[in-house]
Amino acid sequence: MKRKAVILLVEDDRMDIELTLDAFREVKLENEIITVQTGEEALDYLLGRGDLADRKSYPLPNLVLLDLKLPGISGLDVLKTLKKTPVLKRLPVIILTSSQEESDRAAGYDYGVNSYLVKPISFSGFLEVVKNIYDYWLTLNVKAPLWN
Amino acid sequence: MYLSLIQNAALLVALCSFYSLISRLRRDRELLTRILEGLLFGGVAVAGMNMPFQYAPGIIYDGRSIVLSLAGLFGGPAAGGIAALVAAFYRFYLGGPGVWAGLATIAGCTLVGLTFRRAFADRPERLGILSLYGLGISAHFVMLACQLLLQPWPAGVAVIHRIWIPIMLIFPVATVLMGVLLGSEESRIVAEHDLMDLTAELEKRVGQRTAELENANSALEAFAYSVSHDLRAPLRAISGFAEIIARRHRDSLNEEASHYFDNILEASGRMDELITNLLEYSRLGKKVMPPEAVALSPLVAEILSESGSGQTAADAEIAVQPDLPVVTGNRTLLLQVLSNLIGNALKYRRDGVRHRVEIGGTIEGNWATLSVSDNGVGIAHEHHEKIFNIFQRLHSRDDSAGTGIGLAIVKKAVEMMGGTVEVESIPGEGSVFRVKLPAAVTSGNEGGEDEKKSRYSAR
Repeated sequence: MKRKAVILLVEDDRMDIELTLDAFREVKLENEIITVQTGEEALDYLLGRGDLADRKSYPLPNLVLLDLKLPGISGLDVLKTLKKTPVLKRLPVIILTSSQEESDRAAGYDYGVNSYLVKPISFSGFLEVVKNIYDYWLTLNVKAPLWN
Repeated sequence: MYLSLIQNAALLVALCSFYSLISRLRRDRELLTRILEGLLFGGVAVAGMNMPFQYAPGIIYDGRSIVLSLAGLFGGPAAGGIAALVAAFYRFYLGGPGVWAGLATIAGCTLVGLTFRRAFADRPERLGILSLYGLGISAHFVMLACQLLLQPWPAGVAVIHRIWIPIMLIFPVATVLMGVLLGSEESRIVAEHDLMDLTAELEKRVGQRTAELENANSALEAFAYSVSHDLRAPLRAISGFAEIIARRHRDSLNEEASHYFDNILEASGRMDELITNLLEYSRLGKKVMPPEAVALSPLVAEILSESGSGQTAADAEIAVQPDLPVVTGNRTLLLQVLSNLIGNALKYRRDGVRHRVEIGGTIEGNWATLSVSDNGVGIAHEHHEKIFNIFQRLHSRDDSAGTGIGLAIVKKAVEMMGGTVEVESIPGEGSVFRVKLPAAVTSGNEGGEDEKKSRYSAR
């Protein structure tokens, strides 16, 4: 049987992580969600550095949810690295941030983000976001072929 | 004799005019001015030597003693020294038996002038008539002494004997007259320069203060911006988890707990609105918005259709003038202005009256005026200025919801577009807010474009 889509959530705020995970549970999505809290951890995981090289235990995600404000390596830097790395550049990345700043939006799209979402303030907002992400990015959207 | 007196007088008056002309430059180029002054005094002394006046046959005097003592007094060491040198060279060139006495007179008179200058702390314009007379007496005493000591003996004694009374009578008076003339010029110049210094100082301070204000302002905006972002994260947690409890565990909550969770949700909603407005306000100053022709009618229609479904527009009569002006401004800014004004007009209602809001506009010359009026609670006169300040709310939190930023946004946005906003209101009768903005040039294609746009958006 086909494995369910894996999502990598890059988010440093514990509360936001809980809200996002809870929203996924509430809409009955049973995707595996891997959570990392810094940009560095995100790159370690995606580039399969060190122990994380084993893709069986640490599968490449089908989707990345990326916060912009991260300690150390910023979300934009993670995005930039991903889109420059051949094996990862077709991986859909969705920015999920509280920033509506024009400069952030411009930089996000310039670096090739696939979608830019603003964190909702209410839980019902989160539910809607999660449902839409699932419906569009994991269901409707036709996946890019894997890089060989 | 009278003719040469008049000639000398004319020469001295010319000296005054040139002096005032040159001295104006002193503020920027001190040394050059002093050199020119020295040459001027020296030149006049030389000219004076060329038109001496004859007191008695064979006894000829000129005004150099006056000129040089005043050169020392007004010009200071540099100008006085140069004037003395010029005069001395010329006197030396003329030669004759009186050359040493002449040179000594030149040096002596200049030194007397310099001494007086020093005594008056380099402010020669402060010398009164008596002091000037003292200068004249001293300079001519020195002059007579030089004649006495350095003229060939005993001819000098004979000459001095004949001239000392007229010299001491006339020359000091002439010195006073000249001194008063130069002194008035000098004080005018000093006053002028003081004024220029003051103006320059003032400009400098205004510049500094403006830069400080701009810094403070941009720091404040940066602060508001980062606060708005960082406040959002905990707020999201508060409202998010409160909502989860209210949704999922409503049944296990008793009535009180349930009510309190609703309070938390309501308060976080208000806080979110506050942060949104604060962010909007801080963002206003961050971007340069290019002016464009914007038709107000479609904007108002857009705002009303959005708020029409909400609670604010319920039960209110809204009258909009059909063809509102086209203004020069920015669409985003105007949207903020209008939605805040219309939102307020719909919000602050009076009990027992059918709420009515009117939106109208006029064009007068190059200016368009948009008015938003209501028959609501109104605003007391003493608050008319205050309401445009940030966080200025007139109503208690329970009366009406509001963040206190809306009108501050309106004012800032209107001012960014080069306009003004004012309020006219009577408590218990209603309020009128008038926004004055540059009218758009409606002739030509621009107006047509706008009409087309509004037609499209109407579809």
